[in-house]
Amino acid sequence: MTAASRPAPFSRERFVRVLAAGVIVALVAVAASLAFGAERVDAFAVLTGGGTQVEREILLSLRLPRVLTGALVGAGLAAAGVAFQALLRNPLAEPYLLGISGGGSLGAVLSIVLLGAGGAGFLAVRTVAALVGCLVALWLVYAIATRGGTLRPATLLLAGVVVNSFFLAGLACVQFAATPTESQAILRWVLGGLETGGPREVVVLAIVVPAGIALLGRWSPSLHALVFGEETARHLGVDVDGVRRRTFVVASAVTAASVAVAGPIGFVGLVVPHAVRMFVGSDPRMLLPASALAGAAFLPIADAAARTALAPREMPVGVVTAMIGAPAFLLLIVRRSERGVGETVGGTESFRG
Amino acid sequence: MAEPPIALDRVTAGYGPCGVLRDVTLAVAAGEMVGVLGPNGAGKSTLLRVASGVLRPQLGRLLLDGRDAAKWTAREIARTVATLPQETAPVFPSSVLETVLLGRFPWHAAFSFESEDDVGAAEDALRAVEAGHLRDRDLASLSGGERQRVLLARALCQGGRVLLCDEPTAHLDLRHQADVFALLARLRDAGRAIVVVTHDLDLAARACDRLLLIARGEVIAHGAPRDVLTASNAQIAFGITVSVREQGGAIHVVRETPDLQRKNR
Repeated sequence: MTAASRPAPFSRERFVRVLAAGVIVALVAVAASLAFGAERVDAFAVLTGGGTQVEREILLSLRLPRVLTGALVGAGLAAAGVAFQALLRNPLAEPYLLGISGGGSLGAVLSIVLLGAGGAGFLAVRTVAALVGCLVALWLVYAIATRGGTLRPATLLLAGVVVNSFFLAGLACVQFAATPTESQAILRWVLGGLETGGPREVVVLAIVVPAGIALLGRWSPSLHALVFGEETARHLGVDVDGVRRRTFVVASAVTAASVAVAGPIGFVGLVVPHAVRMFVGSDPRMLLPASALAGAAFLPIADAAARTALAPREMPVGVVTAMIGAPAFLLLIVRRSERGVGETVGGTESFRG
Repeated sequence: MAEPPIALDRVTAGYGPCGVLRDVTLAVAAGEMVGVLGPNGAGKSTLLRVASGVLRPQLGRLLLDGRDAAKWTAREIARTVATLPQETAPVFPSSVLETVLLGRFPWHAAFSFESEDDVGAAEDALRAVEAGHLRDRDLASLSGGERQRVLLARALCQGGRVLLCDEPTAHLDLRHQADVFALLARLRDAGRAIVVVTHDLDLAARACDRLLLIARGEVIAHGAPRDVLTASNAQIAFGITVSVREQGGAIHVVRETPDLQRKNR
């Protein structure tokens, strides 16, 4: 065996370097978004033990949980995006566009109306209900896009759009039927936002999201093989069906935890992985943890922008991510269709039966 | 005598109750190349899927080095058997080196990093198929012939002693078809057991030590090329009339085509 002329694409050194850079970016972003808000607060003074009582209250009780919620939700959605893209062999797959967030929202909302789980203490109930909604949505999208045992990538996003519209209609139904108080609470799951993020929410997210990302990362070598095609992955010894099932459930659980807390926040799972891909390449083993860290940086910053753009009014962060995400989505479609005929919206060459 | 690296022992396999493949037995020794021929839908791909461990047989056994592979994990089978698929189309841009390194997958623990040894193995595999210069190219930018060599390199990088090829010359021009078979012959001479599914009867007859002709899931003939490629076997398998000619030791199968000239000009 001859010596390598250059280091491996997925070497330990490169992995550590990329992740270290990601951690620094995430920490800087979290710190920076603590400093921004409708109210001017000397964050540095507070964190070093100074500041007024009001400043301490704003920063530590309101802003810190919100920023941490943003970081965890951002990390989870970005990682779920990478997993769905590899698993479904579709670069445009993302929890929101696939209708999975919509399913989760309806699940959470139904638990509020039917089980009275609207209060702060019912977060676990809402999370489980959101998970059920996410899995139902995923199953629907998957069933619609599968013909004769083969998943059709081009149909996938259309199925997502259809399923999403259906869940949104369901959401509207429930909202009209609900009491005014419930209706107010339900609004959270129509437009995604981080203002409900409190200490309790941070704790739940801090358990579910890192655990989910760790599991997805552990299975990322199989996802990497799946990027090259299902049959290829099988020939390489990947337990395709097992990995697919496990990844679907875990990526949905991460999405569900995010949705239960912050409602459907769109495009994070699309924008972040594609931006990170430009720096670290498409290998999910590298892309998944790197995107999680970048997502932890992106969403708090987007939320800081949402909080300050129309100050003293605060926009939901979902508005900002959609304003960035929709043009990015368009760009990706245009770029793909320019690359060749037969590669229509999210289509791949894997149509052979 | 050593056990053959791969053998199908009276295999019946398929997707429904009746099975696509019925009672097929095939053993391939180290340093031997066997061609699998037959019309579309004959069960050739099913045979390869069974041989690669992707499809478990309904009846019969897949034997690797004489041992029943029924209880082996997919990863264990992939360490012995490598498959050259008809096509690999990654969803995202992937370099040639990344593609070949994928061949190390069955050898790695659940999550591990690639070492310089892995890169060395990948580069050796690329050189073995005369594609060392393609190392840093994007897979999507390659020609059909180059791509086929890269995928062959990945199968070599996988390191097993058995190589299965699913129509390796499809979509290739005449020169590249001959190149691929020349490469396979070299790998065979280096001691690999090779099974190649192909529609190219002439090249198969030239390159393969034995041929297996199947139709409707059953073995029509199995043996030396000159015994398998007869006019009567072709009539049974393909349902067409052919004439078989021998020229300088090479077998040529010439089909009698219906008159395709324009009649009313």
